[in-house]
Formats: sequence, C-alpha cells, structure tokens
Amino acid sequence: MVDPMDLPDERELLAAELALGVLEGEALAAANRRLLSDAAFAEEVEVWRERLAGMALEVPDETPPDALWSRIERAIDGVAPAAVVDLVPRRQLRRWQFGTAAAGAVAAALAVMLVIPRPEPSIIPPPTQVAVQPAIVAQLRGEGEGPLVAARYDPATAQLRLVAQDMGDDPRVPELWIIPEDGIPRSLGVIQPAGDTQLVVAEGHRSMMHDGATLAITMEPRATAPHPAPTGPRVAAGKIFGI
Amino acid sequence: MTPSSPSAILARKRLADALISVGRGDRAALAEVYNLTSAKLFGICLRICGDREEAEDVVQEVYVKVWQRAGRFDPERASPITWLAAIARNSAIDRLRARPTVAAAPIDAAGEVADDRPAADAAIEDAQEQGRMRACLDALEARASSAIRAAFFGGLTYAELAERDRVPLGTMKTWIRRGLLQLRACLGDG
Repeated sequence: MVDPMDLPDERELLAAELALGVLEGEALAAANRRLLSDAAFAEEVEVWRERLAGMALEVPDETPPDALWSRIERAIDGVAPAAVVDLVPRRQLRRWQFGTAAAGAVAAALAVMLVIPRPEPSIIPPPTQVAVQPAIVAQLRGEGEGPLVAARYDPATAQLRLVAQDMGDDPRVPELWIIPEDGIPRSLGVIQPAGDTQLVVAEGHRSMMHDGATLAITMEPRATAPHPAPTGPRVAAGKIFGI
Repeated sequence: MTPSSPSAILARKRLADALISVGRGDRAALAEVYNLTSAKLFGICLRICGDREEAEDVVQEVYVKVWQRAGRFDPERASPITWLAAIARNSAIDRLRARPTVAAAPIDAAGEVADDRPAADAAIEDAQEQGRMRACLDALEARASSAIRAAFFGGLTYAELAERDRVPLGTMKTWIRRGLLQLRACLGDG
C-alpha cells in the first residue's frame, strides 16, 4: 500500500477537516471563505461529508414517535418543493466548474447554482423602472432550490433592498456578505429570512458593491451577528450585475 | 468494491428512486423516504444530541431539507442512505453547537458506545458499505479512530480533542490528518 502521507494534498486535507468539523477560529473562517470561492474545494468537501457519513450508519436504529411525520408534513406545507432539476452528470459538472474557474470567475462555486433553469423571479423590478434610476441588482440562489433572494442596490443612497423567499425553519439568522475580488467576505448585516429587508451599506463596503462582486448568505448565530467571517453553511449566492 | 446482496441492491434502488421523485416535488415519495429511513436518521440524531425531544426537532429539520434538496442527490456518487445520513449528522452537529453550553454527556457516550454496538439489521442499509467503513476505522491507530469518532459524533474540534486526550494540538492534528488519509485510501474511493 502506498503510504498516504506521501501524498501531501493540503487542499484535500483541509476539505476533510472541514467536513469532519475539527477546525475552529481563523482556520475555520479561512476554510469557509474558500468554500465560497473555490468550486473544486467545495466539491471535495461534499465528497468528504458523504464519505464520513458512512460512520453514522453503524448507529442503531431508533423508531421515532408516530406524531413526527405529521409535524414534518405541516413543516413542509410552507416550504417550496424541490426545484425541478435535471441531474447534471457529475463528471460534466466538474468539467464545467473547472472551466469556470479557469475563466477567472470571482466565485466559480456560486455559479454551480446557475445551471438550474428557473424562470426569472418576478420580484426583480422591471427594467423600465430601473432605467430612470440607476441601480444594480443581484439574484441570490440556493443550490437546487431556485431563487431565494433578490437584491437591488442604489449606489446614490447606498440603500440595499432585499426580498427573500421563505428560507425555512432555522434557529440561526441569514447574514449577508459582499465578496469582492479578493475573495474575502465582509458582513453587510443580518437580513429577514422572509420578506423585505432594507439596509444601508456601510461606507467602507460601498466601493465593493459593483459588477462581478458576489453577494452571499450564510446562516449564523443571531446573538453575535454581525460576524467578522462566515461560519455557517452558505444558503444562497449570486453575482451583482449592473443594468 | 465488494458486491452487495441482491436485496441490498434493490432496497438501495428503491430509496434512490424515491429520492429522485422527491426531487421532482413528489410528496408521496417523501413519505416513502421517511418510512424507509426515519428510524436510521432518528437513531443518528439521538446519538449525537443525546436528547429525544431535540433529536425529533432535528429529524424534522432534516426531512424539510430533504424536501428542498433532493434535486441535488446524485445516485452515481453517493448511496442514498449515506447522502441522508450526511444531512442528519451535519444538522445534529449544528444543533449541538447552537446550544448555549456544550453538554458533555452525549459526547463522551458517543466515543465509547460507537465502538462496540453493531447496528440493528435494516434492509435499506448497505451492509457491505457499512462493514467496510467499520473495518477501515478499526484499521487505524486506536487513538486516531477514537479522535475521528469523537469529532464525528460529538462535534469536538482539534483543540477540544487535544485537551480530551491531553496531547499537544499539533500531535492531535497529525493523528487526525494521517487517519483521514488512511481512511480514504482504505475505502478506496478517493
């Protein structure tokens, strides 16, 4: 057998550590940043999560109470069903991801979601309205779940308006990040999990709000927000584009 | 890869088909996925949370996520029960970490109980897959497999594991990193 330590693949080890959950502090924040900006890395983390999940199968079965299924039925009543997605063959998806990375996209991982064909969300203001008032917009999408959030930014007033579809039942709160060219997310604050949020972008972050930069949402603990770096899972992301 | 029994292959295909239907928004298929897997996923959540009520909440959250994410399930890559187990484990660990104070009892229990309690037979599981993971974990140095299990079931970080085993942080990192690479090589799917 080849000694595994002869293959010093730091990226793969980092993916494994993130999947196992042993990182903390700055190392965790750095790995989470990479998850947002490096598609191949995000793919490896997912492979490791599934690989390690084999450990969970040895746990003895335990029958849940009968009432649990009806609770679940009630819970999904308010949740959009899974988006109708044609499964993209994995190899093809990989090639596509690497291709995007090579093209120098700011955040190739985020573009993965955009292969899902979905109608344009109607919550984006129609172009005629935008033409008289210069603004930039972004659609933030979750993987396989269709559009989640529409964002509209007015550079003149630094006002950012977001309209979110219901992000489901989560004890944490959605936190919005701007990720400019350097790939480092900066918190823009916490947003409403459903409905409207209006916020004013802090002065230091205004120069980052331009074409090609990425807006992303992660789920974070409410008490300590805003955070210096994301720690929770990314639920939606999209690129800013001017119109 | 070792061949699986015909019944395991059929069970796996039935679950994979149901998941794919859920991905198309089929609610009856979600009920089938629940019937086939809820005992396994509740067992996992209970092991990690150590509290029935909390585990029920997490299981609810898990099936809502399955409803939302089933379109991402790729039968060519993951076995369906492993894909579901990953969602259950990660959701339970997230819940554990969201607690105001970390409860020590389930973490300690996880490390010890996991070592010698075989799972109940369930047709839906791929016994071959499970046996292989167990054999590969057992092939690691005891301290490495113990630390990896404690991280997996208890959500312990490098620093917490180093403290638990009273070794320097760098030593713990080396054990786990070496263990993870050996695990990958042993499982033979990297």
